[in-house]
Amino acid sequence: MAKEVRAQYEPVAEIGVGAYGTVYKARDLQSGKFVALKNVRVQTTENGLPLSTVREVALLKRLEHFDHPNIVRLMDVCATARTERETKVTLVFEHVDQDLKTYLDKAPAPGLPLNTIKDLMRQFLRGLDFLHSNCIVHRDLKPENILVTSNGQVKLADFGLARIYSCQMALTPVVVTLWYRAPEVLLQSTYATPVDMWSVGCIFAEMFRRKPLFCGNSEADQLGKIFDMIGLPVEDDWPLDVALPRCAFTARPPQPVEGFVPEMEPLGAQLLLEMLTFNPYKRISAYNALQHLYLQDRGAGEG
Amino acid sequence: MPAEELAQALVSVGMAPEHDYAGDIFALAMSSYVFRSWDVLRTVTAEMRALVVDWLVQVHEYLGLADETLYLAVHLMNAYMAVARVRVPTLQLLGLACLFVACKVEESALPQPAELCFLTAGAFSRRELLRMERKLLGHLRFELHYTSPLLLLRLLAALDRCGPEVSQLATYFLELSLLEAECVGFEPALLAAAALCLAQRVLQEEEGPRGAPPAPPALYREEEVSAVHPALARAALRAGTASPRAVFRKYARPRRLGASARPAIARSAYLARAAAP
Repeated sequence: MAKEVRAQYEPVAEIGVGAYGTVYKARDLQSGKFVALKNVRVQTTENGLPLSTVREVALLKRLEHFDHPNIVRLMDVCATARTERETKVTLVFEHVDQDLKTYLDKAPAPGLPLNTIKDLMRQFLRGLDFLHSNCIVHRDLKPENILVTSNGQVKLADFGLARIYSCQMALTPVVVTLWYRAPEVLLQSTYATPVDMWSVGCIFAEMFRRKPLFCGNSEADQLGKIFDMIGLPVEDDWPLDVALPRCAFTARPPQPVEGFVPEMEPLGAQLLLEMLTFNPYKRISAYNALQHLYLQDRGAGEG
Repeated sequence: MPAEELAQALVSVGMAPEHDYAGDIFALAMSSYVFRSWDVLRTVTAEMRALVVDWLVQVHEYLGLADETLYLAVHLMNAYMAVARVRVPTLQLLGLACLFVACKVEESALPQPAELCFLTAGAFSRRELLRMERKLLGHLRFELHYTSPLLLLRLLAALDRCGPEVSQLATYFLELSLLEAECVGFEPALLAAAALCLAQRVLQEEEGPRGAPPAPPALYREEEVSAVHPALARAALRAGTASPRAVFRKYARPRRLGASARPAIARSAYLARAAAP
């Protein structure tokens, strides 16, 4: 299998190195198209390939059949035994040159037009709603893994397999950005699909600001920056099973959105606050966000 | 098919929470996984394949695994045989690896590889099993998703308000189809519909009253269903008398309502007609 992969795809450049392995841009010698090769190392136990890997890769393959426009295409998967104890899983994705970070950086001076932001948000939420309805939590949404094609099509990348390498992540000194992390993740409480909606909120604000909303340098600092905007949550909303107590933070009231995202009109600010809700059970879902009035008025008012 | 009725059927098969997605689930149950039997039988005969499937039925029953796991395992085996060569001596190892991977997809508790190898009477080692697992996943490119015909059978039985005897007999016919190489050419949904229809006809004959034979379940025409019946009928008439017999023995048990041992099977004029060459 390994030989097959090497024969079919010619590496062109290294895209990134993560705790879990390396991502390459490569050319598919059969089609001439560019692909992203992602190698994930998994520990092989006496039970062979871990159950979680088998299920997740199978799920990713299954999602392929739905051909969702806002999900990056998974073109191929191979598993190769490296040693008795380790298997390398190679995932071959379609390659998109530009991510949302670059897209925002390239936007001319006043920033993205309102219509473009709404269009990007709708596509972003449709992709996420699709993942969530298939029980996949992305867990690491940030502008770097939201791809934007040259036609302005949004494609979510880097989801699902997070679970495979998350256990190794803590062991390696790779800096993982905290900026898009939901409070329950920062507090190391239990979490599910709402964590992604928090990240959506941060990214939504960033589309207007063209710089991140909360730039903390530690978990506590990140939480402090969050509370500067949304206020210190009420005692009832604070999770019970966490080490960091609510009293570690000074009480402060919520601030108006326009102080942080001045360009956002009231309806957008309302949606943003529903995403940046501290209690994950009260946070808006991708499905409901898509129904929000703010995303309904296609083109009305902006010409 | 009216959505209302379908939703009712979902409730009766214990899928009430999926009410809103009834249409989707049905479409999923209908999706086809079809092979050409000559692709599956390139290096082994239909009899060898049947022997291994029969052995899998025994192992599956012994380990108390979920019904879906067996169907998935046989599907994986067909899929592997359709794309890769398998040598006769390793056919059983392939079957075992398929069951192992099917457990990883379907089961909450995984049988130990050592236990599985023990069930081959030591013919294969744990290392060989794990190597075969990798080969299987590699050749199938992790394409492990399958909607077993059992789901559709339960839905159709609920729609037709079938009693437990009809359901059990239909499940028996459907499981027999796993052993038949010619059945890999029928889509699972059609197999399920044909098995149900066959069970209804056999039991109607048993009861005796004349009347119109039960119509094939909605979604399929008579010609489609009766194209499957010869293979199912031959399998049903042979099952009790010739080896392999694991499926027959399994369905003769009281908890399966003795479905396979019903005298109606041997006496059925419909089965005899369908099985005739």
